Amino acid sequence: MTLVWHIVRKDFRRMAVPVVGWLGAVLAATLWLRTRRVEPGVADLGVLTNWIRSVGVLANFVAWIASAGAVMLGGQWILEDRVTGSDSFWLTRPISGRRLLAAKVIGAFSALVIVPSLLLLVVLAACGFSAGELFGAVRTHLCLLSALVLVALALASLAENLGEFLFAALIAGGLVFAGPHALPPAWLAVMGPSEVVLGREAVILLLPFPVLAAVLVDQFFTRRSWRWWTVLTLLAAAVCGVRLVWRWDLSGVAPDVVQAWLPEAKVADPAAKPWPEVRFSPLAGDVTRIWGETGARLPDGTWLAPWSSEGGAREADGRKIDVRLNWAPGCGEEAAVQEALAPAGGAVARWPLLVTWREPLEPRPEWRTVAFSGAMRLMRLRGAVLGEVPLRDNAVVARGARSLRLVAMLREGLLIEEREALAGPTHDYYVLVNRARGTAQPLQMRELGGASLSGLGYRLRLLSTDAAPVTAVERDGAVVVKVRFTPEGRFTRWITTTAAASTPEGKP
Amino acid sequence: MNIIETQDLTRRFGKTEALHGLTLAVPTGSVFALLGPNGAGKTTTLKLLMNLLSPTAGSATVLGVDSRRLGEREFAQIGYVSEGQQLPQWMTVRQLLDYCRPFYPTWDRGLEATLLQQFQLPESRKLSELSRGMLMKAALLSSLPYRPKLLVLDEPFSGLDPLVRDEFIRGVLEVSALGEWTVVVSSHDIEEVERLADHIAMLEDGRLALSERTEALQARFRRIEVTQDEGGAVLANVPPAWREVEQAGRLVRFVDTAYEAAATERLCRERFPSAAVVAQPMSLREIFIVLARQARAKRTAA
Repeated sequence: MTLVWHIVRKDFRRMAVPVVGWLGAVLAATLWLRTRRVEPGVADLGVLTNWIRSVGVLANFVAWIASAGAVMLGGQWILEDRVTGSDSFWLTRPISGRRLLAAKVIGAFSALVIVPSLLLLVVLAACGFSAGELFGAVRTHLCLLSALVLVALALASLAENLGEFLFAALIAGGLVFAGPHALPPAWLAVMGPSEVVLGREAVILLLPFPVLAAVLVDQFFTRRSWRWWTVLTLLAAAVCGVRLVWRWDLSGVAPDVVQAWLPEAKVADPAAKPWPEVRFSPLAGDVTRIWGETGARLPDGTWLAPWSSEGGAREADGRKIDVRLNWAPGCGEEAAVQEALAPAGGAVARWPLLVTWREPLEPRPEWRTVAFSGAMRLMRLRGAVLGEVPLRDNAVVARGARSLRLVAMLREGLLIEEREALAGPTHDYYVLVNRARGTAQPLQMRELGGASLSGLGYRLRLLSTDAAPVTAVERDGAVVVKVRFTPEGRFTRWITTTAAASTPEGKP
Repeated sequence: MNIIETQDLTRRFGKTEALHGLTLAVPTGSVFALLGPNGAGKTTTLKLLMNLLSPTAGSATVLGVDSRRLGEREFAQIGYVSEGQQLPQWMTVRQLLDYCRPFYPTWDRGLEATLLQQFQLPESRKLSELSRGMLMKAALLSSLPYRPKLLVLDEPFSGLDPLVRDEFIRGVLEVSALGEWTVVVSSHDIEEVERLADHIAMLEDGRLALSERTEALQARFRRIEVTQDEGGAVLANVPPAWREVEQAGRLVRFVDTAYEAAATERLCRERFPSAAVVAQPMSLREIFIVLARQARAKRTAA
């Protein structure tokens, strides 16, 4: 172990300057983002939008540089003692592959994952974020950097020089960007919130990471060339392809239904009774509403949100009909939040879903015979009121370093500035509450722009109502309540109808 | 006792056979030179011995261990210096020594200091700032203080100017005199090797052309000049050991590759009864050229 640390120290000495430069640049940019704020008195929404977008672009650029830097440094960490080829210094020294691998993994993950995360912890703690926020932000940061560094180490262990490594990294980056377009729609569903329990598809999507780890370990013992691995990958792909073509049901892998994302909609508790009925309601053109309802009541503070769905339809003769699933208007999250905030025992939960038929159904009398089947993937969300800010210019509600500032009340709506530590996907909603009057009005939120860097998030949002701008009367004693829903778990609800039943057109 | 043995060692790169059925033995304590023109398979042989490449066929043992299973224990007794080896260029000479030292239980700091002084290397200068010759000396310096049982030098002289080359050879000779080390050196620079080697192996197109002690090799090669009193010598049916036979008037010259004074004299008298026969010793370079020409002729004929 002493010799492992000896190699680690050598690598630290070698990589100290670029790593410190990388960390310094990222931390400086993070602190710069921390100081951004909208000056009071700015009333031009166009100017504000351009400003926050430019901040976002710069932050994205720095984030990209930080990620690319982690990959480059991780690659260089390995290339310092190249694994492939026959010219490396260590190959003829009493240094075993096992020892070198241990040193490389310890060194690279310490310098490129642990140290940056600890520094982030210090920076965010100095900013005043709470322990929970720190934990969430650092965990997200650790996962991202670990994934990047693992990919870099594995690719570099196959490369004979920096050029080969860069080429491989570009290919890998291209796959990450192109992957969502190439993957079967059913698999895309798992690219949703990371908090939800991992499903079968997520396991498949995460498979590259243990495979890369295995490649990395194997390389230090066998020193195979990237050509060998390419041949192995092609063979594996060929075997999978053959299995796919000859033994698998392709319809399950690439369904003829295009999947769509759904917004949040309030539905019943999963433990409640099954949904009694699914009904079709033809709307204009080729759009049909599928809807159902259950008598189950929502428990306090919980909310079920569909986060993906897929399905198909068949006519009576068994012929498949291509459909496209979309979210239904009228089940907006604002209304759902209002219901969620209402006292327990409120409205009956509903889940409307729009189906767009590839061909218009209305002129076709046989639509009544159409049967629909599909699955809705739902998240269980739990809501919490993060704070309430009085309805006056420059009013601030802050807890630790997390803050919500009402910058100004513009003609277009309420301009708010938010700052927080990022800890994964969230679902934020706003309600205008006037306790004196006993009213609660959901606010529509429009994201003007935002920036995130190293676990620090900054964004500008515009809140407005469906109706006229907030009046002076409404302002009196009113507060904006911010509600955040965070995912707790996931389940799938299958929907099957043997025949569509007609209902009068209109809202269910 | 042999420190290295190979048996039918073969290595292919695609369709190219870089080494073909090499069977070789390097005696312990010898200074063994592996000679051959560029592309003969010298570097491939050494890389196979050091487990830097895997053999396509055949096997090799180094320090009694299969070359494919060389581990930390064996490499702690091996020094390897190659012109193509990638040294950590960002280190200074001192840092290189400090880095290498903990890996070798037998590292002798006294010897390190002695060698550092002998090689006249600037300790605080980065390897990237060293000249090619100094870099080779630095590589050698990092491979000697632990007194390796086996020192492998792959083309150590290429690109070195004569002065540095001389210093390098002197360095190797000095350290080889310090103990019973085996030195294996590959080179196409025969004159330099001649000063070092007590065993010679010659590779030609990936095949072993010869392998024997230097003294024996030089003893069996002679350039023979036969000056006849009368012209008209019979040059047909010359012994196969006579190579490069040529005649210019009354002078007949050839290289006897199996020289033995009495036997050669007798064979000459049979063909040139009244001629004066002079046998001249040959340098390794001359022997090498004869063998290389012979191999080329065989290739052409094939």
